[in-house]
Amino acid sequence: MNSRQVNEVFQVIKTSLAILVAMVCAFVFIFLISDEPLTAIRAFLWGPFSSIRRFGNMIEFFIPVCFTALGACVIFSIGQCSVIGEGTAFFGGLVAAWVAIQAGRGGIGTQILAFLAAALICGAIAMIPMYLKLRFGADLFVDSLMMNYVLLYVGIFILNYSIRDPEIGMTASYSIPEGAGLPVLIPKTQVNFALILALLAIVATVLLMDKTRLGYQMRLIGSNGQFAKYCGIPIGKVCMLSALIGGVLSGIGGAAEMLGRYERFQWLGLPGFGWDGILIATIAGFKARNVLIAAMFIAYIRTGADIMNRTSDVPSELIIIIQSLLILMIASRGFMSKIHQKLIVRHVKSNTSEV
Amino acid sequence: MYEIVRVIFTTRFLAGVFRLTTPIVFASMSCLIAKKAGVRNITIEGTMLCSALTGVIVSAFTQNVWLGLAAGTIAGVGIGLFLGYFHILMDTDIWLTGIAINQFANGFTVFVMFLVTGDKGSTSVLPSLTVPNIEIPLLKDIPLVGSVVSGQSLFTYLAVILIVFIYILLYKTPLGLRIRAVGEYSLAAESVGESPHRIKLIALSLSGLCASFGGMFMSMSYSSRFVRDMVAGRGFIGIAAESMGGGRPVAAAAASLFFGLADSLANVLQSFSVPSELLLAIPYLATIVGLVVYSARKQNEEKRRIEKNLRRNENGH
Amino acid sequence: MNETILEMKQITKIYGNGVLANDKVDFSVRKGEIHALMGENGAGKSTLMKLLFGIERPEEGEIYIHGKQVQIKSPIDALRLGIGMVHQHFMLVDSLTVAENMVLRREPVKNRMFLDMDTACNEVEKIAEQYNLQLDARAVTGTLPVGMKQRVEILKALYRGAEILILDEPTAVLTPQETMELFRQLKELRNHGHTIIFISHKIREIKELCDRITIMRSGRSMGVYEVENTSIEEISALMVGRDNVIKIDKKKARPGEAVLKVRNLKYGFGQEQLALKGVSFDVRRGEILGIAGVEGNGQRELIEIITRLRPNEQGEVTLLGEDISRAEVKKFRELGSGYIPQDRLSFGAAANSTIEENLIALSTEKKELRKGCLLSSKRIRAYSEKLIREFQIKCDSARTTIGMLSGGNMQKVVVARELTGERNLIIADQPTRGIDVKTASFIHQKLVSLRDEGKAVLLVSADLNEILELSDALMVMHEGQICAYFPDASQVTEVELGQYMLGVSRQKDEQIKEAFYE
Repeated sequence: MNSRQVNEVFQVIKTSLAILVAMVCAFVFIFLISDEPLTAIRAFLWGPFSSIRRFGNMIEFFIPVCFTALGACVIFSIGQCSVIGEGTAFFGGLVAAWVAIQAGRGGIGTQILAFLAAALICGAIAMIPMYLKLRFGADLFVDSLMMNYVLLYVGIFILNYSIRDPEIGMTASYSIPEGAGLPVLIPKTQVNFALILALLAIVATVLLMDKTRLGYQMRLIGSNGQFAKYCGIPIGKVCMLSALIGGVLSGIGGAAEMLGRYERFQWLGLPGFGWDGILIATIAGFKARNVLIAAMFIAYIRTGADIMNRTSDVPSELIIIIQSLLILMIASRGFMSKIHQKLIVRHVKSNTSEV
Repeated sequence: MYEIVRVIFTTRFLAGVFRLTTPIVFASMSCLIAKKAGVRNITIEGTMLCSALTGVIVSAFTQNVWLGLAAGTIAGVGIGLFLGYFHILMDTDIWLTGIAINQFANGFTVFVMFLVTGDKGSTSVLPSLTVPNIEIPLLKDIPLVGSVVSGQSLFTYLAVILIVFIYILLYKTPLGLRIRAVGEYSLAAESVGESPHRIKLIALSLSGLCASFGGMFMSMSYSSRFVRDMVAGRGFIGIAAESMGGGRPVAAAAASLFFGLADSLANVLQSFSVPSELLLAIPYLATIVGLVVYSARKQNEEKRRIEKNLRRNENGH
Repeated sequence: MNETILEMKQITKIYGNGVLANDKVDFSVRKGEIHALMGENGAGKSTLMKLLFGIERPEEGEIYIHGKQVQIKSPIDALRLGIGMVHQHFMLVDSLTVAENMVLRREPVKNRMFLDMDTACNEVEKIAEQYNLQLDARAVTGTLPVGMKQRVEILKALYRGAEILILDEPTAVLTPQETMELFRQLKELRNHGHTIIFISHKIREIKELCDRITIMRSGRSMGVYEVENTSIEEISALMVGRDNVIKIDKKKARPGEAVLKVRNLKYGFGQEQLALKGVSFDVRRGEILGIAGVEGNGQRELIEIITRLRPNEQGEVTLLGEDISRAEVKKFRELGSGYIPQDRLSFGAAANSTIEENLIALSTEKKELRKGCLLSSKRIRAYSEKLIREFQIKCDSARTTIGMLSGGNMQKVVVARELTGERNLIIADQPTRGIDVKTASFIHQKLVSLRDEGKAVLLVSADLNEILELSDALMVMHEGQICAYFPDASQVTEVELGQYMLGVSRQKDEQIKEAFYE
């Protein structure tokens, strides 16, 4: 075993242990508050597999956050904290709906156009805070956060003044034309074609990060920016590209959610996909190839929590609490650091004695 | 147009501005004190939520508003220390810790609310208490000014006091001096025997304290119950206000006022069919512009100094 | 005057990475003297002072203050024992006022809770007056010139009751006028009965200021001398010297045309003082040009400007006929340049990445690493393993994290990356610092063989063995200028070199001008 494998094994152990601790916490809580704890736990653990519709719910949850998590992996790979994924996912949904409504007819052409527009516009938007950071040194977190709210209000403005349907009793757009929505893959659920896109996006992001020069350069910047500069990597350009790709991914996520599950655009607040994406990326260790499992895992426990909520007396929010504790444990370098140190030291020793 | 101006220059409108500014002032002070100690606290949003709920529940069960306030404050300090524990002692990335704690607060408040009331939307079934509005003698009798300045929530006055308090704490007390030293150059503080960890934890509990007032204002004064996600981004806006203020308490408060003003304006203009959404976007846009100008100016100073010396050197030869 | 105030006996310090920084060092200081601690970089003087100030703990040895044995576990202990230190990087908070910086953690308080700045300012001014060191207690520290900041640091230590004051290379950042002023202040302090330990490698300053001198070399003390009775030449010979001469086999150089041209480079207009005051030279094909000099005389700035890591302020740099004075690092790299940086961990490697990722950093465009338009892990693996064999890097696999390697092996990774591929120019900045002898000689041989292939090599080193044996031609840098140029390095003696390095002598301009071949 080489030292990189030692590190990887350690990460797996650490993540599993964190999950174990979190789950035990969840069960303890359920036992404390529930009158029928076993029912609740069964609903939580087996619920997502108990019917095709519930299984569908899990996949439906998975699709948008898979995109935003991939986006977070790409943006965070350069070691910067931009939370633009939230706003771009929202805006991606809006742009897709707007394009579909303006096109006035369904079909593959409209769909492609909607996705393309969402991707490009969101990519461009995501580059703005990054540009301000690179050019002026402005705070990326605050700027990207503010940008989210700007996007929200501009989006609602567009909804109200451009595509709002005055005929219905709620704030929502005209319904998108027939055939503009994505085809359903699993009958009796809303699992749609976007699932395939999500899986393709995972493959593409893995290839990008692990197999292309750009991905390599992004990782190098994240690992040691000074070293990257010294190697002649054009830092500014690579950072902008990473923001662009991150924005494109979350924009597509929003568009997929909109065209896959909604008939009208009706989001009046930020959807939360961006935040979930960052959390999933954290569990995945910001590695695209782990996103499938991490996003599925989160989709599983969130769907389970929903079912538990409906069928027992335990509220689903318990799982949000548990999930955030889980992330704190995984992200913390102090958690199990002593054991890590020991593992490494033992490994180094055993190697030096061989040499 | 005339109509709009007439509405804006009413005392009711101005009083509303102060009311909407109040939580943002608390949030910006919370952000400021943590930042002065070198910690970027982005959990203010979540802290406000937790305190808002705690205040409501405790006041409802004890039927004592002051106990409610005390409990809400303790909850706020608790979240501050929770952040401190993970970020400072467990070496967890500040952004990820912040994001996770905010999510935690989202879930936790709804969870607890459900356990207590059986409702996930709001605590309207709880007979929770509110903090009184206060008429200020003498001031209230001044025409116009009186009806704006007097009769505000206790929290609004507390916010004004807090700005002064934070200013005095930071610039006029030994603790403030140490906080500023640790935040700017912790090695220097360490070299004279100060423990940066200790100071940061103190600053974070103070930060939690400030945020808790903002939260309780929302649930115990602005409205009389806790509603899920009722803070609605005000914690984040406080962070923006602090950034615009460039680290100065009074400037941060002024920036908060600007956000409060924009918020009220948007409320008013809605009834005049002016696109209020765009108005609501303005403060955020202003923050971005403000931050860029602020950062660009700092960057240019260095450049100009080099250029000046270069020119002097060239003339000298 | 003759009472010994501080005594350090048989101090040994071994760092975690196995470097023996202090080897049974004895050091003693008398009350009321200015005692110079001299030595080259890496001689162990800073380590010794860190041990005294409680920043590091010794493995062996004892410390006595006023004849009593003491344990110094932290700077707090040191301060309590009356030891103060003025760090090279000031421990001052820029946005605070002078008085605030001085009283930090000992703040005077009024009404039980408020800072009493008036009292603080009075105290500060009183102590400033007492030592005849005027300053404005209410000024914001960040706006003060460097000399003033240093004064604040000194007073800060005195305010905290320091009797023994350690100054770590205090003149490195000062203008000549400020240096004069500092000396006046230090003499004043001596008159007040304070004891001063003055770390420096500027002989003239020591001659002017100090009473006694302890010279260190390679972690050992070379003895204590009365400054008055010791000549500049003696000191320089004691300080600069080779403990054991290493011979490097190489043929005589046959230099070709100039690859790198540097003309009249000036840098540091944003600071108090220029770090480069007009540096010009050429590096030719088939030649190793060495730059000798005590560290901190502008070498770092020079190399970072040439490699485009630092913005150029004035002057020209030409590489292979192309003006790169204001180019990006990318351009510099594209012209076929290898650069072994001094600071391995900041610039030379990404410590959390694997050996392969570090090895391919300059070659991601190469066809041999790709399959179609994607990078091929198989080919990357083969490429890395080839280099690992060629450069004898000891590791368990190419996918080991580079941070896990020993210093020597990590440096081999850096060297392997920088020397492989189409190279015209190689810049090696302290290429063998802190690494084992075997690896060092391996790297030396590599550099010589590249020279023989007709590459141009620019070598910066503070290691006399390395610079004298490896260089074909040799320059010496002192205070941001080239102060000597020797077309044939083999003709230079170390004593001679030492005098140029320490600024004792300086060649005529005509001789220095030979460094560019026009």
